Amino acid sequence: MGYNIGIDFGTSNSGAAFFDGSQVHLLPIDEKAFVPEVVKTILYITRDQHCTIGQEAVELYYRQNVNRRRRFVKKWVGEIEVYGGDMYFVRDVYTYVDELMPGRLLQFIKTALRTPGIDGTMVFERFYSLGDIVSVYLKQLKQRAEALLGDKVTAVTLGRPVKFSQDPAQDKTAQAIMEGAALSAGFERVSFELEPVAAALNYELGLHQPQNVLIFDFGGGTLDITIMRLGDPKQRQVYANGGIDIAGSDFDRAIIQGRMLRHFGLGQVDQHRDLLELVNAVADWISLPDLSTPKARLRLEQAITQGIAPARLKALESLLFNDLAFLFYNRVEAAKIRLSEQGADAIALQSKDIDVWELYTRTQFETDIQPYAAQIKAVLLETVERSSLALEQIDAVVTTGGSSGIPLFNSMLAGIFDRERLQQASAFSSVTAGLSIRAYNGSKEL
Amino acid sequence: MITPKQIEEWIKEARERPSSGPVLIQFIGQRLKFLADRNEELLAENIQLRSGSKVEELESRIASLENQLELLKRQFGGELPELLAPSLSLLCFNTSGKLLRVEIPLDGLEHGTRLAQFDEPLNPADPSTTLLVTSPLEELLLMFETGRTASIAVASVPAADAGVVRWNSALQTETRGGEELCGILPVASLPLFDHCIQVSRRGFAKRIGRSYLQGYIARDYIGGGTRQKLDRPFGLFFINENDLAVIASREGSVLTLPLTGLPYNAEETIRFPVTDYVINAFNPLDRAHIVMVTQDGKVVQREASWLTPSTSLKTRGQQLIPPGRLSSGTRAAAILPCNESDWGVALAASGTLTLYRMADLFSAGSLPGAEADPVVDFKSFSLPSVDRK
Repeated sequence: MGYNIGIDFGTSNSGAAFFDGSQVHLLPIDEKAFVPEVVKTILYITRDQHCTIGQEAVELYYRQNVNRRRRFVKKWVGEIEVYGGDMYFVRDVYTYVDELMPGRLLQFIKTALRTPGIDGTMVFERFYSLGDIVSVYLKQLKQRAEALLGDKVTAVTLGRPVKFSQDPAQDKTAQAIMEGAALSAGFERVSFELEPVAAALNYELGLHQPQNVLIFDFGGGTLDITIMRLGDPKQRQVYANGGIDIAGSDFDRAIIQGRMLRHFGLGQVDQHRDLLELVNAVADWISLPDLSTPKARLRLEQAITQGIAPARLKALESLLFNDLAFLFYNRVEAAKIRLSEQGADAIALQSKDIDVWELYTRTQFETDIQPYAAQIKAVLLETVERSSLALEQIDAVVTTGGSSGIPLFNSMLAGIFDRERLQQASAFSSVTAGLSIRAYNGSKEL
Repeated sequence: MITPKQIEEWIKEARERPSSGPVLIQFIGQRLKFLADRNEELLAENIQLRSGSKVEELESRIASLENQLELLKRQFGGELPELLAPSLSLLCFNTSGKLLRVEIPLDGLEHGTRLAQFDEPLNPADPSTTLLVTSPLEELLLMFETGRTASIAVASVPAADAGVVRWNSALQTETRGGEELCGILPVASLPLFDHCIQVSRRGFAKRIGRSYLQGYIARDYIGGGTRQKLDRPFGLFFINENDLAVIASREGSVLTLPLTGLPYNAEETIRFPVTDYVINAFNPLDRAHIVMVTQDGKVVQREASWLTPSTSLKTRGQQLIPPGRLSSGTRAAAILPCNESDWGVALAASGTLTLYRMADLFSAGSLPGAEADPVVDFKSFSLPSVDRK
């Protein structure tokens, strides 16, 4: 028969779970991740078409790209037709391609689903349609789930946003791509459930009469706000949904920019534009390997010899060239998560030539993410306004997603809706858990 | 670096949320302890520098490097006859970092001569004892599993007492935090090659341009790039643009790759079953034969032309042990390149080191007595072709 599982295919993070009729089992899909039940929605495809996902993908990306050789060759990519008055000519267009590139890292796959005009990408010699990319990712998830469960997984309930896109045709296409990808990944039966419904499923099961519920799904990549009528599965109604592309990864970047860059020379190399560029790049984990070139190393060593912030730049060199970058990002993310539980945490990284130690407090964190908090509050109020409901008419606010546990946002929601109306669903797993229950119920109906 | 502003922010946190106070103190205390320990280490190092013991160590290192430089100068200066030593050195080393030298006299070698005897038997299933034949004037690069390297002159390795090899009189190289000594590479010939190939025990390999090698070594990158789960570095060898790289395994797989087929990033070159691993990786150069010596003493010889360069990675390579013999437990003790005029030295499980003429082994097809005394390792070596008299 096989297992029926629920999969939350998120913008930044995904997860899978299985419900046995009495208990949800979140599957530790990514054993290398800080939270093994959460796997990054990242796919890395190597030149020989070997695919990895999650933390393994990130680590392989770093391992293959840090300090590697690059050879850029000019490649013809097409033509541009130029019209001007009675003049017409065609120009060839070239781009420089790194022919030694060992692999392609693909992220924000879900965002591509709602973006018109994106139908796929070339990964070296092979074209991957959007469906292929999603399918490869889901297939990896399925294989890992099967390895954990010890049996085949035959059916899946996938989460989907209330609207992939405001354009109904694009919305339909996105779901069709997801469905095709899941079938192609080997699932025999595929069903969908709205992510906010899945997130609030546990809450909804306990309701005796319908309520207006605001679901505040604040994950790793986006904030999704849905205001809907829950309580009677046959008469669910979405009043409004909205959101913003701000979430956990933006906070990590804010911490690095605000607190960590000075350990690598910010404030001491500002007169040297090339060095400053290297320092600032630390905030963007994906571009970091591109900077670990022999040329960059030479420049750093020159600067160190010249006495330009030698200890800081040595630390930067160590970060760039000693496979320390993903460890560094993990430490920052871990500290951010711990700050939801305690008032302070140390972000520390010690290795050869590097000794970073930053005692980081919740107050500092809240200061650093204040600009985001203001934007989030504005989006929240605007979504409530579009629902045509008054704040008092919202009976409950169900919060979910890793970032929803941040005390600053809890306080913000409590300030707007009263603390009594706040219902904290499981931060990392409520959508996944809800989908697994839906998958179980779906199998019972069959 | 801690700024006054940061301290203000910590105090603010403690004031606004008193529950954060103990947490802050805990972190600051841990950091202070770490810094105090580090300070003590630095003070000790400073005392060493001032007292001169560190200087002595550095002077000894400089002398060793000067020796290496002299060696290279002589290699380029065409003074080969003067360079020849009266013997070759057989180095015996194990993964715990012990290193011993046995001299092989160049005159009067005889097939089947017992060169030396270990004072205790060895485990034939444990590949931790390895042989290396080199010039006594060589400089050696020691590679540890952590990617760390160290160098030592062959002359600094203690020679075994007459005919008896005792590990307790061996040189114990410095191993940090339980790291293992993975391999030893004689480096005097480095200037003659363009590239270096780094190989791990599970068959991951990458090429390193000669100009980058020094940087790799200085930064302890050697080994780091090939380390996968349950893997560790195996060794390095030198290669030129048109040479072949050969990787050989315990279960008799031989993968041959042209230099251009090897990646700059560590990649799996040969696909092993879980039980298999690399036992040798080499550049065959102008050697005419490839020889496999099995643990039970069989000598299998192939012409060098038998090596078929592979066009892709992750293949099984060519097989020297037929499946039937493999399933009956036959394993390779060594797979190496050699000429018919070469000599070989075998280390048996009983701890005996015996010399053999390769031509005689080719015709006999086996090492005498190996069925009862399995072979642990086998190395071949060429006698210098210049008339030393």
